[in-house]
Amino acid sequence: MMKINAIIKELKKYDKITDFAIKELKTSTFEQFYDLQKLETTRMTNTSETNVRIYTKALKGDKTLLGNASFDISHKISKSELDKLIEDAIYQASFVENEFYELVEGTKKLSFKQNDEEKDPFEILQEIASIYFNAGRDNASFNALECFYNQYETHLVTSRGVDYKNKKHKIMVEAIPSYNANSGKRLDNCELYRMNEYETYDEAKIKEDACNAISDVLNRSKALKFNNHMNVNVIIKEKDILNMLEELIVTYDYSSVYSKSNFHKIGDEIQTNPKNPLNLSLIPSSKGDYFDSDGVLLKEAKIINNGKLESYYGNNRFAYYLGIKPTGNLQTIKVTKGKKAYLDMLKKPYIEILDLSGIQVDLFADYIGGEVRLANYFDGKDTYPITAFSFSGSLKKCIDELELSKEMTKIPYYVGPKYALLKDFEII
Amino acid sequence: MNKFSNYLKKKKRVLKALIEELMKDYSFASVLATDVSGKNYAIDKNSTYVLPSSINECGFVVRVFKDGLYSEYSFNEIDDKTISDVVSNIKALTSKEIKNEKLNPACMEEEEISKKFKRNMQGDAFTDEEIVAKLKDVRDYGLSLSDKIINARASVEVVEISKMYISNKKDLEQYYTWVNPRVFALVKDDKGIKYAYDGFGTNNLSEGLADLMPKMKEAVELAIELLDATAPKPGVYTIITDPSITGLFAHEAFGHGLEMDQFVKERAVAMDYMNKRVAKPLLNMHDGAKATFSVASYFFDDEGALASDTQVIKKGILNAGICDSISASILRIKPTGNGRRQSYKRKSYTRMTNTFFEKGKDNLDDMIKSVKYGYYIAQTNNGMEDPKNWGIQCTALYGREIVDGKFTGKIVSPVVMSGYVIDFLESISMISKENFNVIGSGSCGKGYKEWVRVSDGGACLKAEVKIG
Repeated sequence: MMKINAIIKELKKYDKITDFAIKELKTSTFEQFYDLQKLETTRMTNTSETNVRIYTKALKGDKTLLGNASFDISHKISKSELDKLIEDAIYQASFVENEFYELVEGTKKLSFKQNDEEKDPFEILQEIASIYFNAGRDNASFNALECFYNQYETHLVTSRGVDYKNKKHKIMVEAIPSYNANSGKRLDNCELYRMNEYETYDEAKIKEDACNAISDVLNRSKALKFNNHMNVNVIIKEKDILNMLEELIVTYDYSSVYSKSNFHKIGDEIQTNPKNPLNLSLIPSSKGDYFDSDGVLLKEAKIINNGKLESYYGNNRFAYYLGIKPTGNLQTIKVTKGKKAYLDMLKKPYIEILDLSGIQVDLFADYIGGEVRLANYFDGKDTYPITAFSFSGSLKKCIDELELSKEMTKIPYYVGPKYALLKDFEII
Repeated sequence: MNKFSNYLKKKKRVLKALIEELMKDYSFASVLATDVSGKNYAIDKNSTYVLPSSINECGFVVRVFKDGLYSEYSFNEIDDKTISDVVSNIKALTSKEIKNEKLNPACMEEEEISKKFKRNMQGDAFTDEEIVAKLKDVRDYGLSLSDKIINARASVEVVEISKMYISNKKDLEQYYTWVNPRVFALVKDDKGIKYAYDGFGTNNLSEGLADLMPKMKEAVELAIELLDATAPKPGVYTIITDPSITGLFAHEAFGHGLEMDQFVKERAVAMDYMNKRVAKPLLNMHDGAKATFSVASYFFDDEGALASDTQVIKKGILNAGICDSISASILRIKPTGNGRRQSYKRKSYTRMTNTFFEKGKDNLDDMIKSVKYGYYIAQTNNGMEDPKNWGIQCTALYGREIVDGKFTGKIVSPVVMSGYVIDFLESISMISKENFNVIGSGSCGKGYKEWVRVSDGGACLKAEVKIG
């Protein structure tokens, strides 16, 4: 693969290129795939890829425009092949033009390296699989399990002095906890879907996730098909809270604001007369994620303060157009602790959703709902697992009346209350 | 354009040498080489983008079989000097100590074949500049249609695919292209902000670009109409599906359960229904890269198995599943050419291709007239599979109310449908006889990952479903 310095040397030969950004990504992965708790396939990948972006500043009439183009290099190429790619990009930038904006100025060279795990990646994957398989009980086990140990090394260099590196890894487990009924009839079996990510090899957390997955599928095996048409409070958890909040703030990014499609302005109430005002920030996903693809250095940005819109967020380009500072591409939502204890949420009748096929949230249609695969229903007297029903309601009303738990959680892309109570949802 | 990758051609000799070397140590060895290059052109009110397609890839994946275990190594550099490094890495991978129990599948068996396939882009060719200019016209047209428009976007993705599969029995090359034109309109008034979109797949760029103008007009008109949309009242309704929603049901509700890698994992309730009735005899369903022409039409899959047309439901009877090569070796059946990878960097799985219900004998107008109270459901949004429990979750952008066989003019959005697959299939009482397109504008994941391009569609269906 061509070195970054060699690419820069070639780019500098072309006067028309006013700026450039080069991103190199080296990826190594180690993977194991299990069917019915037996190893089917092992995999390893080892790749290196480079993306080159060029910018050309041009005056057209009384307007200054910024042309741009990019290309990928995914294998060894000759200097003449690189020259051809650059010339094609310069031609493309001559008609792919946008309103001018200044690129991000770099600071000093920065680097982050996550500590390597002590064990060999495949040893870790086999241990993870064993932890999952040992969690099985009472006819519940993992009919499918995929374990991944992925290492990424990113290097971003721009003509404006950005020179940032990071090296990090993550562990991912896709698990299908399954209940196989004594009857031998497949219709009596059931399963759930789990995708868990870990920044480091945390045996205790992995064991907890495996055991919870088994408990949940055993619950689903006992769940009754719910045929009641009624209204009741609904409790959602972690990933579903994240999806709901992602949709809530989707129009507060700089590009939506620039095109005037944002739902609120700074200072507007996002919640009307809230008893539990929302405080929401965007933060870097990990220590290693300290810069975005433009070279913006990432730090916490408060978006909602006490239920009111505090600030917008977004990338360098649209920040320049709006005349504000870029927050960069922040991917994790942080929410402050709620006022209600989880146990207090359970005092009145509720449906606690444990597994959805995918929460449906549409800000533009003011809708939140979905098909529920497993939930616990408390009817005021007894609690029992239920399945095969849908819930739906108004997203606006739900946010106005939102109650968040005191109990906190940290999952990929979300740090905040573990539970959210949504008032008076329609169940069918 | 319209030429198999020169880069892969140059690598063929060294890849053949690699397979020869690996066959000294392994009972099976194959390599898939890919060179997928494309661009995504997009223009809206504020931005013009021409970016490398997100599915671009160029690299290799080797598969070997030894001691009851398949192993794969993905990489993107190989030449005469580094071939020994690739072999060493594969040997290092396959010599890792395996502590957990192995599945011990049988080794894949292949039939000898050597063939080159080609499907060129149809219609006129355009330069990047000409494509951008045409998209600008569509965007400007969209923006001019109403003072309620706050943004209009026209885009097209143009992709060329070259793939080569080599093993000691097979030597296959394929080249094909596809194009995905799309439009999006965002409108605003004092009632709120609403959007509408459309997209389709073709391998004729000039036709695709020409079709964007009427699609933009339809999207803008629909978005404006949606400003008056209300949420549907939760309940069970009679529905008529448009071809995209028929396709969504075929794909999400039923198709995923027929992916036979799920049979190996005991994840598919469909195993108990093979050769049994799952719907009324009027229903016929297909999947296959060769079943029709759309964006998931190829000549061989990512494991070197030739494309086919699988009739999964025949006159209401569950007739066959679809299968990748490893699962076929475990189940001891023939693969159906459905082994697909997100890229050379990922594992292959059984994946759908072009999935659709055949047309029936009913007139669409008669179907609408037969609805006492219900909705005509249109425009796919998303769906989620549940192969083991056959739960349905399918979301449409909108529905048009029908009362006593007539449209009332009332529109609802979004429409989230749920229920049980067999109940839904059994409820299908009419199927339209009009021709339809198998539209390919979307991607499909397995769980929440492994995205591949798929198409789906079918004739309009009259059925009962829960909305809420």
